[in-house]
Amino acid sequence: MELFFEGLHIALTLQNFLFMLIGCVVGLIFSAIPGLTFNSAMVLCIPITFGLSPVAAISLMLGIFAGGMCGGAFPAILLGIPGAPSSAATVLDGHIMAEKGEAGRALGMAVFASVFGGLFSLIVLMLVAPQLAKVALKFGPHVIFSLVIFGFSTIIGLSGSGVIKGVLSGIFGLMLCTVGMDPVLGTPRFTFGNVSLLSGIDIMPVMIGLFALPEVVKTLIEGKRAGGKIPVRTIQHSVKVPFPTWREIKRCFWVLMYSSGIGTILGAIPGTGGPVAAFIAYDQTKHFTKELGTGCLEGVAAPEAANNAVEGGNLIPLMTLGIPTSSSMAILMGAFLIHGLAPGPLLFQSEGGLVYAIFISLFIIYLMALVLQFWGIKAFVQILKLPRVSLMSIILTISVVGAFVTNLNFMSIIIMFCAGLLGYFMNRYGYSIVAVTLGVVLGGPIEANLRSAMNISQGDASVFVRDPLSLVFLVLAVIVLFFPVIKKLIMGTISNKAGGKAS
Amino acid sequence: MKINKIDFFTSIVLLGITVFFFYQTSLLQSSAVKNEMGPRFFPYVCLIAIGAFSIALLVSSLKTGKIAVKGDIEEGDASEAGEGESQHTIKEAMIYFGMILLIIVGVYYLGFFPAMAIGIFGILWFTGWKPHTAGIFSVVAVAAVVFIFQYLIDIPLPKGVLF
Repeated sequence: MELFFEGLHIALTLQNFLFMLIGCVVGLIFSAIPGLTFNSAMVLCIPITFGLSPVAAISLMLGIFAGGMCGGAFPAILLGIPGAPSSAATVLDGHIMAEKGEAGRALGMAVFASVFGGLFSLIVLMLVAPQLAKVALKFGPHVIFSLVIFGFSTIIGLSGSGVIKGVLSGIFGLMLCTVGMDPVLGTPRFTFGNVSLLSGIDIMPVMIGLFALPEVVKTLIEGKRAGGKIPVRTIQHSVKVPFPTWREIKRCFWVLMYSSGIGTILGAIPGTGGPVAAFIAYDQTKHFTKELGTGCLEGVAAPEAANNAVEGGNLIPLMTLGIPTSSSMAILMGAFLIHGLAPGPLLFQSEGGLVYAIFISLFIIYLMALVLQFWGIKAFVQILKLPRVSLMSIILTISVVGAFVTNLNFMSIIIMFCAGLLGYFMNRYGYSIVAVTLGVVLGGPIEANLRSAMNISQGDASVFVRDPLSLVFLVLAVIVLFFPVIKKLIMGTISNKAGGKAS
Repeated sequence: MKINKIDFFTSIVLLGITVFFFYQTSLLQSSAVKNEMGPRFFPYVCLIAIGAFSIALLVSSLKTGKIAVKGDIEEGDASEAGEGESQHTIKEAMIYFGMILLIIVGVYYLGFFPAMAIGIFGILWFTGWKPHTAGIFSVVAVAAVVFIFQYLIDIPLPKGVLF
């Protein structure tokens, strides 16, 4: 309880409130415009946080994330285009409702469900995280190594880029971390005599390059093909967002509850994330509502509650084990590290008040998102009309600043450019930029724990399989990584058998 | 034999990179501390993995009927099917990346404000904006970013070496 009040004291400052609000608005804007992602917004806002306290910085990041998750429903319902991948399932019923002239009701329920899901997962996070952190403190470096490898392989396995390309992307990210001074002995590695590389390759320029530059170039090409301005689909009718009635809330209550549960659980599993949670929740709702797919409130409530509940779920492994479960969490972890905070069980011990301040900030951010969306609907409808080409040129300008301010070194801008070029080709040929990002973020902890474990065991690599817990994580990692191949083999065997019987 | 050219060349390039960095790693100083794996250990682990998966990519790119990973087959087919269109897009993308590179070189020599303003103007003009609109927008947008970062947040921006 003492930590809670300490957190309250840290969180409730004017500066914090301001940055939560800014984060929320930026997140809502970026997710409301189809083609932009709130991941880019998170990356681009990291440089702004340099002069801020860690809580204000993390609040800004969480504001963008929460706002981004909530805001995707606006274009999904009004235009039938999901603003974020997590809102894809919302299109199914939400847009039908809008076409029937019930856009306001759909948006009202989407906003309510988003905030409900977010708060639900936050409560779970606050209850589970401290207990899990206590358990995680007992893990040795070999278990932490296996655990991080499990998280890493899950995201690679489920990244959709195939095993080979996924692993290659992830290990490439790890390899980038080896540039610079050796963390134990301090000898230079792969610097090729360049002094600027002695401090290693910073996370920030790599993330800006990978996420922002390909998006900028893609939109500019689209803009050029459209003669300079990308046509915007406008909303003809005026939209008002009424708060859902008590009857509507009662009708959707159980849908909201289990969808939030699904989102929280899936959020804690690396690699699954918002889109998967939203579709599973939507699919489960089919069992209870026959009208699903014809434009009903449950079809909006389920995916929106689930994809927002993912946020709290995502934060459980990040805060307690230091494992990011999605690209947004990898970026958030980068922000933590830049501010000298290492997410993981030790954070609860050393910065307990700060952890609770983050929880309280997240609670306030959700209330802000609720208010902003109910009263700011007219502004958000206008946002959908913002010219994307001009936005991209601003993003390009901020990207250059963002890369430079990391260490006030021109080399960072060059690294950002190279990462951007690489990101473009990786996107194009089916490699996973999320896996590279995770590699860059997790490279340090993976190498540190691997070397620690090997030192303690006096060079005996069997330490990773002798400990049952470590073995379980490694086996799970292999299963998850090769899941697409295993699935294909099983499906092939089944179809062969079926074919044999038929002939 | 049908070959997925992109995956084939990617795997060759990756194998080349692996060999180069393997050699570079062997040049690193080894650890004198007992039981300490030293700076070579982790790069070796990563390079062995990259090498192994590059060979796997090479094998899967040689389309000899069945390929193990579904995602790779689809990617390969897609990239080959739309080769003409792909080349066109790559050319456009490279033009924009070239412009961004010029801006970066400009920032190094001229400093942030002039290089970014001229660069953004060039990009917008090339994208199809009218010169006066592009000019006004680029100056206002870059000035706004400079104002926010340099004056409000007090973050220094790159200064050109010529000035």
